[in-house]
Amino acid sequence: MESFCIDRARRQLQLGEQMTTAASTSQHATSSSTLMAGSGSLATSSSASAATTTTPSSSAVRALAMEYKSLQEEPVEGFRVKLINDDNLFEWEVAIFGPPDTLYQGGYFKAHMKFPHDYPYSPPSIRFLTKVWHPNVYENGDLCISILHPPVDDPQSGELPCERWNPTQNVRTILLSVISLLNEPNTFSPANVDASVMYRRWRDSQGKDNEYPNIIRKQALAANAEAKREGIVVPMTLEDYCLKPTRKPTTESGLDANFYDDDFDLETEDDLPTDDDFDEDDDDDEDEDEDEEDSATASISKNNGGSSKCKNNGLGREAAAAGADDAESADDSGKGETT
Amino acid sequence: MESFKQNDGNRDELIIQQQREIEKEISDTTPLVSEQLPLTCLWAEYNGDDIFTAKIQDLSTKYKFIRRTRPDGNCFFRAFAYSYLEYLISNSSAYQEFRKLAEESKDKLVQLGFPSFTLEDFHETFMEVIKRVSPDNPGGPSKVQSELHKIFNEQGYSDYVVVYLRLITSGKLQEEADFYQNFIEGDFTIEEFRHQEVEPMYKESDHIHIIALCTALGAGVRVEYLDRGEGGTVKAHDFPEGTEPRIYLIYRPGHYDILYPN
Repeated sequence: MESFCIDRARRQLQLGEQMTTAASTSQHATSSSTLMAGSGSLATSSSASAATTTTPSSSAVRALAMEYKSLQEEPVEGFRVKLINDDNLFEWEVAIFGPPDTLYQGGYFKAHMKFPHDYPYSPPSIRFLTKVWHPNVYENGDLCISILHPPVDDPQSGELPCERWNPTQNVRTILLSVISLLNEPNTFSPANVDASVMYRRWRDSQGKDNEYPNIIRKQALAANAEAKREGIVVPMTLEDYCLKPTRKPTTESGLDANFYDDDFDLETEDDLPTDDDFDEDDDDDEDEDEDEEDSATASISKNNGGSSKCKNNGLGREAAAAGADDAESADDSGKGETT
Repeated sequence: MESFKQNDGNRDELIIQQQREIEKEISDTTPLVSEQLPLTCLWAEYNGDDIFTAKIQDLSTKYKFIRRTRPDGNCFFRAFAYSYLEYLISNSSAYQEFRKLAEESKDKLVQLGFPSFTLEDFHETFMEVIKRVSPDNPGGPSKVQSELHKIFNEQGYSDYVVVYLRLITSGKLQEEADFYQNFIEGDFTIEEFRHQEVEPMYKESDHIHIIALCTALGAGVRVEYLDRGEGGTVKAHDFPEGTEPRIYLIYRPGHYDILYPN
């Protein structure tokens, strides 16, 4: 049942080297040589379009420019986007905030989104830069979610066909799917089999086997620390999370650290899950768990190639310190963890 | 689990690569929509095969021209849109009626649950195309006709029209799910079928697509079936049954082109 994602993983491993060499020169080459099975019209741009000004890739440019502009003007709760290079609409950096009252609370997960040249007819791909231990995320960070799969007839994939890509899907709908996938992994089509097994053990033991949540919380905590280093304030309460900033970035520089809206209240360290929280239930087999945890974390980072280097931004720290004064406590009235 | 079928990855790559080469060859040699060609040009494709020669002969008593569409899985939708707009160019009242229907279709699709943000973009382009081929535009029918041809060979516009028709089709299937469910083979739910077989680009159309689209737009289609079947004559089928056809298509297994009656 896992064959779809696993085959894809293998393909990507093979292609990994190509990708890194090609990435510096042109992302055309990578998008056409990798994932997108349905990108037929890529080839058509050279066809009898002498009299035309509209090529498939200008359709894609138009769609992406429109989406990008709209997401800048009306950010959607739970995530932020920016371009990796201002002159390339086909590669975005997205930041997903861990939803409050979930294992991911406080987390700040960065990912790269790469769009094919026949977007929106074919879906983009997403690779997490932040470590994410999740049944549907490969060790190298690639996300395996059905909404990003072109609709191929693949009875082996174990995915429901109703979740496939279609041209009305867009960055919003994708990222909302990603956020909900965080808390509801698809164990029928795991990209990370170990994480999937661990998740199921946690779920089936009604939370008694808490190796999985411990790793997630630890990663969320680490990601939060990194966010702080970058001067980014992660919303910790449902209220802040759902807050829709009205202020638009005024200048181009607004796309940088300031872009991550500073309307969000800054939370203190107290609101974050701490290491004490992790070991609530497993005092008896603490050692064993820790060992497994370490090996798991190690294997995640194996393929991550230093992509999540922190930017240690002095200005950011100042901003964080300044904001700490009006910190509030977390919203305790919220729902419990979604277990 | 990791080790079984080691070569699968390579094989997939080769298949994708080959598919892309085929697609490129098709797109290099076939425009999205061709000029009008004499129907008898079909003979050349069948090398004097008796069955086909007889059937094409039969067909040529009813139709004079054919207009080819690119075989990219979107041929039915592209042929439908082109042929219907061509009819509307010379029929002002039907044009106005259709334009109103098209204008209103967006709200309906939003209600049916399509993301309005992207839907609006497709709808806007769809309406722009319709407006550019209005029978009332300056220059007269022949000018508008050549505008239509130009638009449909611009990939950006042409494909957006296809997407929008796919959405209308999908919307109709959902709207009358109880009815259409009866025509779906296998274990697909109507929902799965729409997302898997209707909404994505390059997915080929079946009768159910045709019926849903014709019904949604109130446009009759006659399809002439040219295949190896017995009888020496080409069988025609009207969608929806009993409607006067405005659009004439020829179907050869796997592909639709546009026909022009005498």
